[in-house]
Amino acid sequence: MILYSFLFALLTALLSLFIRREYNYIRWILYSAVLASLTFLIYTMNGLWGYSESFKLLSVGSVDFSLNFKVTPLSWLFSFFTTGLSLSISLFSIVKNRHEESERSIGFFWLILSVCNIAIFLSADLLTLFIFWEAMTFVSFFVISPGWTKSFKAVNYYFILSILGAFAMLVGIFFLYSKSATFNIESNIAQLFVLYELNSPQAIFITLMFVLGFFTKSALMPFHIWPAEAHSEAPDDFSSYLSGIMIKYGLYGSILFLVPLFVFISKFSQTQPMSNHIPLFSHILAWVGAITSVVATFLAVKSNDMKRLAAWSTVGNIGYAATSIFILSSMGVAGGIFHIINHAIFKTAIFLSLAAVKYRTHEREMHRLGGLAYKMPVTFLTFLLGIIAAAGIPPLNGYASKWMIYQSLLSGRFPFLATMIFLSSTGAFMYLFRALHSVFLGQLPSKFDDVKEVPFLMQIPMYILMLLMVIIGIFPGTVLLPVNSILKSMNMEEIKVTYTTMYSMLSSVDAPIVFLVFAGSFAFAFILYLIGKPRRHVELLDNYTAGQDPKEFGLTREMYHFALKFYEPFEHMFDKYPRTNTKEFYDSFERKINETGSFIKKFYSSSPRSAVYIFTLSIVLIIIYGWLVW
Amino acid sequence: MVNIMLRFLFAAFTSIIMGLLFMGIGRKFIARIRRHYAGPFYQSFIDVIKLFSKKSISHNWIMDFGVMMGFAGIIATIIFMPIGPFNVFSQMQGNIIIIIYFMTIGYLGMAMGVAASGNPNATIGIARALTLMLGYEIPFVLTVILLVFANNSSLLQVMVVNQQGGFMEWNAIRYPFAFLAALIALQGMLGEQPFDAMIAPSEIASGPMVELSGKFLGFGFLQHAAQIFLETGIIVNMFLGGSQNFFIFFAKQLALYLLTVAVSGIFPRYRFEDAVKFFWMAPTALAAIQLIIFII
Amino acid sequence: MLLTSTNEIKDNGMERILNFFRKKSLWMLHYCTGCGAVELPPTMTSRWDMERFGMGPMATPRQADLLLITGYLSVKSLKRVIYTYEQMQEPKWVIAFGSCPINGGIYYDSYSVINRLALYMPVDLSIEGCMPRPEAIIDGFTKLMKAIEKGEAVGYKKYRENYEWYKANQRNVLERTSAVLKEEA
Repeated sequence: MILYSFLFALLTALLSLFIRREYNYIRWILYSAVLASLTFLIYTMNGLWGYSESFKLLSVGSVDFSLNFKVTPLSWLFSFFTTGLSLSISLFSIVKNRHEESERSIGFFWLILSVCNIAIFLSADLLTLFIFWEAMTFVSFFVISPGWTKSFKAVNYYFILSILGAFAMLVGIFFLYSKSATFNIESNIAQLFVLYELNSPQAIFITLMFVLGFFTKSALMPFHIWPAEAHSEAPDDFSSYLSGIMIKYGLYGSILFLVPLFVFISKFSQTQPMSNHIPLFSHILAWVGAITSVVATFLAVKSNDMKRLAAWSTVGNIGYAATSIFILSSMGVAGGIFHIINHAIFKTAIFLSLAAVKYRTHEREMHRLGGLAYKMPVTFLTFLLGIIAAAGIPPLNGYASKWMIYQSLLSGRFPFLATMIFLSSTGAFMYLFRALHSVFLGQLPSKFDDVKEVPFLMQIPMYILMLLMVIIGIFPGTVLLPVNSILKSMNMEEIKVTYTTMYSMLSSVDAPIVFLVFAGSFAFAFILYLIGKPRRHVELLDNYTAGQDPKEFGLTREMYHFALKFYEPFEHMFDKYPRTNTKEFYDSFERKINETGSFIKKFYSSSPRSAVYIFTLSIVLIIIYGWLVW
Repeated sequence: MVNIMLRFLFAAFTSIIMGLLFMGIGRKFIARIRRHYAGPFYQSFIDVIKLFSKKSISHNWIMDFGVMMGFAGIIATIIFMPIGPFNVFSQMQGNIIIIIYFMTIGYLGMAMGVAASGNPNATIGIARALTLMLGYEIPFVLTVILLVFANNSSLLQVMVVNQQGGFMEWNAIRYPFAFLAALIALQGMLGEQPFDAMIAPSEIASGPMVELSGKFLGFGFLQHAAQIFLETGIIVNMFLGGSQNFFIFFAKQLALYLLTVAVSGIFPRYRFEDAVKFFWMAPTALAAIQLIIFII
Repeated sequence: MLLTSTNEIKDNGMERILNFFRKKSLWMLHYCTGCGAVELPPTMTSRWDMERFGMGPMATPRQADLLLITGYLSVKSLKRVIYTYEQMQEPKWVIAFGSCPINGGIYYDSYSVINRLALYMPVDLSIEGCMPRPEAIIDGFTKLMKAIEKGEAVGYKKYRENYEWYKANQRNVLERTSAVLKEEA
């Protein structure tokens, strides 16, 4: 069933290559239909825990290598939400990509990517996971950079880091396979745990390999730079897919593999160093998450490109989720999963609204925009609700998961982690408001006087996402009850939650009441507003200008829009301190590789004879090595 | 349901009335520091009624919406705060994390409303306010974490109950450094001098309020009044033992407010990036020291 | 000539009740090009303590109720004053300060200074003197408050009713500010 649906989707992708460019919208309608059916298929798998399928690839001797798929609560939740969200993005793309030049390949690869996406979540063993992981990396390379020079430069960071991470993961997988002779995830975790007791450095090395694989994909420190490059240069609608969905694979892998391992260690291990009742390793990873979120926040405050800002915000949110996951309490894991889902929703909303802005204005630098809220109210509302959720402000979905993260951090007694998360959360409010102001509020430049709201078909996914944010905010149980079954399947203690109420050790929150209180207060404010004398609307330039008439003064609306260098004094606060620039580090790394490469190339291609010598020599060395080892 | 609504209205009106009263008394107090008399203590009520009786302008629907949302956010936060013995909801007695996050709606609403006016002065003010917020939230959150650990609960009501039994049980006495940090943070939260760079009247024409007229400015006034009530109320609940009596509760709040007013009366203004640095140095260190002492 | 008199447009009913609050909370915007501004700081601070009456300085015209023209007005600054006045929200009042806005004062024969402010804006109250002492200013304020309470200080309505007349006057005098040598486009 799973496999056939994959083949069906791939076939559709292939067929769609024959559609001519004038009929682009038919292609996207086709994709939406496929994604809708996939979403429905996954929805029907709800509750079929343990349903599995396998497909034999090849046998070497007596060993079979096969693709295995299995439905678990974890994989179901992730695949359902991500496929649903990609459906909404593809609805958006129907109109958006009507006149795109390089669109044909994007759509084709994108559908393959959606298949890889589901396959990663449904894969039952490490080999299947790795195969689709690699496929996803390669395919996404072509979507991010459909032949554009700028995005090709950007995608290099993404691609090389992902490949290196994936190879690190492969090393880890083969190390484990050599010990356990199986790719099954549970038995490998048990094997690794045993290895921790027997040969701890080796086990730490293997875990580190997995951590590298997962962290490069999820852009945690020190691999945090690629989203800002890749997400901002990718096609606009695909940015939402990258940021909402693809960046979550690393965290999914962590929940799948690392969390059970660390939980095992914290429960049974006698030899491993502990701190705050969790393994030290896990505690360090939680700190990495927190530091990532703070660093990403400061970098987001500095950026002037709206897509780049949203990309940094993504990194920050991944940081929260990682911190929450790696403190290993069931509240923390549940909060982390919940935040991943919520982030997927609100970040898709944010990126779609930015894509809508770019669709109409073709601008990305924030100081060139402004005042679009008066022209594009639906887009504005989507973005507003998106940032309310992203800043963790009640009553939308973001606050529910942030509340859980704080509860887990506080009840687990991690005061400084909680402070760092809080710092980046307040910073998030700061840069998100900056984006809201610079793009949607303030003065409307006169060149955008004729800008209209995006077509209705593009508004539909925005309405859906807004509705989702509100519904999950009011009824957090819609996501948290499935999360509870995940905890159960991971043998962790379930959290106490109903459809409307979340409980923790420290307090409880009744989400509909929170919503009603806000609605009631708003009604109260509205009554006061009606009591006051009526207001009238005036033009944007009828403004306080110290008595000077703007027309005579030559003041234009563009000049009266304060958006460039918004937080400049704040940035200057850090001028004194030496700056470590990760991007420069990677760039210098790249230069070194280039130098080495050209040196070798010079040596290698100086004459054909030397090439033959080297080839022969390496063959001989390999044979000798094989002989000695065997 | 009717019961809840009545309690809601009671909390809303109490906060507004007491907040405006505090403002008036504060103005009187600061006038006495500067050796003059100022208006009557009910001056703020007159101001608000006058503002609502004036005609006003707005630039677009977002400005209307944002200003209302700003006020609604603060009122909604007050609903979750225990006011003396009074709670609107019995089961959520002042969840401090909800309170901190709910306060942000107020800031967001106001910021959105004034940014929609399109005046750069307003936006500069907002940028300063948000930067300052990044400063004072850190020491404040550290003290909150300390109290959550100490009481093993994030409910303000539980903190109040644990402080019953006289003066010496107050958290202000038990955790003096944290109290000091919270007081400094309170000064920043209320935007009093030396942390009032966002409303510098002659530099950026009163910042966020530059385009507010009539009832919009009235909403700004009401929001500030409710904010005074809310923030002093939180500190009273956290550190000064709350109270089982409305009047004692209000008296504690007033004392706290007069303290901030007295400080603001004698200080000039910090540049706001210096203010952020200050918040990250002195009060944060105080709160962190107290936290470390507690953990050890 | 003016179309309406003060008696026709006096405040009545609900407005009279609200006027009680308005007179007790006059927020002012001072237009400080003239020398009269120097008398305002003592009036505001502890010596004469204007805040007793609920008065205080405000930063922008949107917030203010009362426009103080403190001294002479050149024609160019008149333009700014009118722009500012029109940005203020009703009800709003204008106080002309010192002799210059009444009859030109010592600048009565200057080519660049207007002589009578009341021709261009509805002045609710003039405080004479060169300069008026703080006592005189406070006396003027109390007079304005009484007028507001009785509903007689309705200059803003006068301005609205006779908009064309005021605009014509303004146009006549503002022509002087237009550039003599026009730039070639």
